[in-house]
Amino acid sequence: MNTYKVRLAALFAAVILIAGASAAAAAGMQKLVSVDWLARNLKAPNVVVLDVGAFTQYERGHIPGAVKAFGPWQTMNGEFVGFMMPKVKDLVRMLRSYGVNNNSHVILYDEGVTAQDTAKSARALWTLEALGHDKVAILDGGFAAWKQAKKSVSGEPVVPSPGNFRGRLIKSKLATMNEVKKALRSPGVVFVDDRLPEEDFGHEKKSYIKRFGHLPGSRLWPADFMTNAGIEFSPSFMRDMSELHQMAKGVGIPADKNAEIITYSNRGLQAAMGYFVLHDLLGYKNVKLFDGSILEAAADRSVPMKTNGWGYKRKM
Amino acid sequence: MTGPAREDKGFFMQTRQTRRNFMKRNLIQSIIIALLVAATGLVSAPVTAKAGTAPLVSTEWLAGNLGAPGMVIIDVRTGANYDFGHLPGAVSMPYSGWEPYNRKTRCQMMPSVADLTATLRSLGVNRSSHVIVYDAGNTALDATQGGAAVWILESMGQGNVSYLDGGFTKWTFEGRPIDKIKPAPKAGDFTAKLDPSKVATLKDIIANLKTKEAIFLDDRRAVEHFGIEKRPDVVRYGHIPGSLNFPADFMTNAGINRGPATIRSKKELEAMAEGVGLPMDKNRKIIVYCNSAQQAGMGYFVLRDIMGYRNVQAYDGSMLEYAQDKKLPLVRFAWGFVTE
Repeated sequence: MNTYKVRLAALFAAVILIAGASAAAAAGMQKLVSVDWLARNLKAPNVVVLDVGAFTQYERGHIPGAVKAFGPWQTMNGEFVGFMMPKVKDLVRMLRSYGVNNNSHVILYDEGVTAQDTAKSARALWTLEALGHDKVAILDGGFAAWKQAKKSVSGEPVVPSPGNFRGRLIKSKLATMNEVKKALRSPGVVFVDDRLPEEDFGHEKKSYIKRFGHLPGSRLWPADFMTNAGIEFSPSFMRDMSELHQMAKGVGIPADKNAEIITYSNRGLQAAMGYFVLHDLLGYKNVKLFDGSILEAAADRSVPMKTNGWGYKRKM
Repeated sequence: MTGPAREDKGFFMQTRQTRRNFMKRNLIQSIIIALLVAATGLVSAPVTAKAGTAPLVSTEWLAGNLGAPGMVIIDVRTGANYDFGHLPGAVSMPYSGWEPYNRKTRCQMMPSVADLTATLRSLGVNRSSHVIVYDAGNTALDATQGGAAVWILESMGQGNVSYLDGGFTKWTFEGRPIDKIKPAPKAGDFTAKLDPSKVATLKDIIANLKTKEAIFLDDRRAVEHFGIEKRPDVVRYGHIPGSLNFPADFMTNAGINRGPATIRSKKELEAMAEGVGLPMDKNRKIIVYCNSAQQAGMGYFVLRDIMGYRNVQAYDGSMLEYAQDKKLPLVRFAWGFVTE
């Protein structure tokens, strides 16, 4: 009798443990959904699929039921020094026009060919999370993976019924120029540069960026390294979790998941990939995106920028 | 002698006054220079023949010294390019001859002592020659061909070697003369002798993995160092544990304002050396490697001949050889300068 009870209790505990573990795994995986998952859940209640790729692409063909969600996800700010998050009320209006409600499960996808494509979905995901909407995920590999899997494609534009989405800015998701200046003076904050190595080094820059170099002490983790785009003609699938973990360590991100991290790039697009990988896939809790990124920082001469070297090195 | 003149762009924006001053200063400078040139002329021995060991020579200097006794100019571009037009008096040794395929190591290696001796003698190189190497000078990768040729010449005992800054591209941009005449040099007396202090072998690399006496310096592109991309003939991804990364691409001004691949200024190179994590102590031992030793040869040239690091070896087999031995460690998905 007694042993029976113990066994039952143990069994019960095991079931709870397994359920808990799988639920946690599912929660972790929710931020990146596969083509098969989306194909099964395309008609599920509350699923809203947004195509954030180029609109010309959308008109040629898109995932059935997907809404053309070209944006703008970023606009020039008043001073024309940054390619920033639009005003919250404009974003809310835009998301409602896409049919997004507060209980919507938003699935984002892009062309899925290059890592730059995936960065567009990452930027949209960050925008939604910054507005307090966490039920959002990216389709792994985007439209390229969808087509490769021979799933059906529609040419018919979708006219969604307007949603009732309400959101407000979660300040802890966004780093402003002033916050960045302050953070540069406090040694605890980890800056992550998601641009190309030659841009970080200060050997090259985009023509619209005023100065060469990186923010002092930055860890270099190019967004291009985060996907398998182009490897043996692969769509832009996110790299395996084990590889992403390895990279986080290999570029010098602290193991502490509470570390304060600020990601940046040229104009906040690749930085969104950094945010997505660090926050949504690897579970870092305090990740902010520097919205103005180097575009804004380089225009402000009071911001120190370092050239001719890598930002973060071990002591020799 | 290094880099393009940077004052140029502001010239037309100067006021008439400063411009007049500038011209006056220029006049005085030219008189002084003329006097100096005359003075050196009196001493007769060209300053450069002895002090000609200047590792980096400008197109301007070379134009003024073409045909100097004892000078051999070697063109490392392809034979077809050489035939189409080359610097007056230059002989041809295409880059493929500097790092031919080696059956034993199954990768590109410098030629044997006997082969290099024969080739360079046939090109008229003497022990006492001042050898000037030039490449296409258009891209950073072009520049590495010349840099690697300098490394091989120095490793094989040729003391007096210079690299033409900006190569053929800068020479022709400036409208300097080229010709198609192939010189028929008298056989030289150059005798190659390998100087192991300048060339690292696989054995040296394996020993250093344990002793960590030397710093490993990877001169490939950052994407190759991180293990994201690789050359198809390199069999594994990644870098030698703990390597620093100083891409050879960053060592020239290639492409900046459409400029030729001139070597970056010494000041910039010093800043970069610090920026990639190299020690300031110029006596520290450094082993440079890349895919095939081409970029590493450039690294050797820049570190040793331009910046004055005294203890630099380039690893001849480089990643093409190292990656073949599956037992040897390679690190992927990390920067060598971050992790240990």
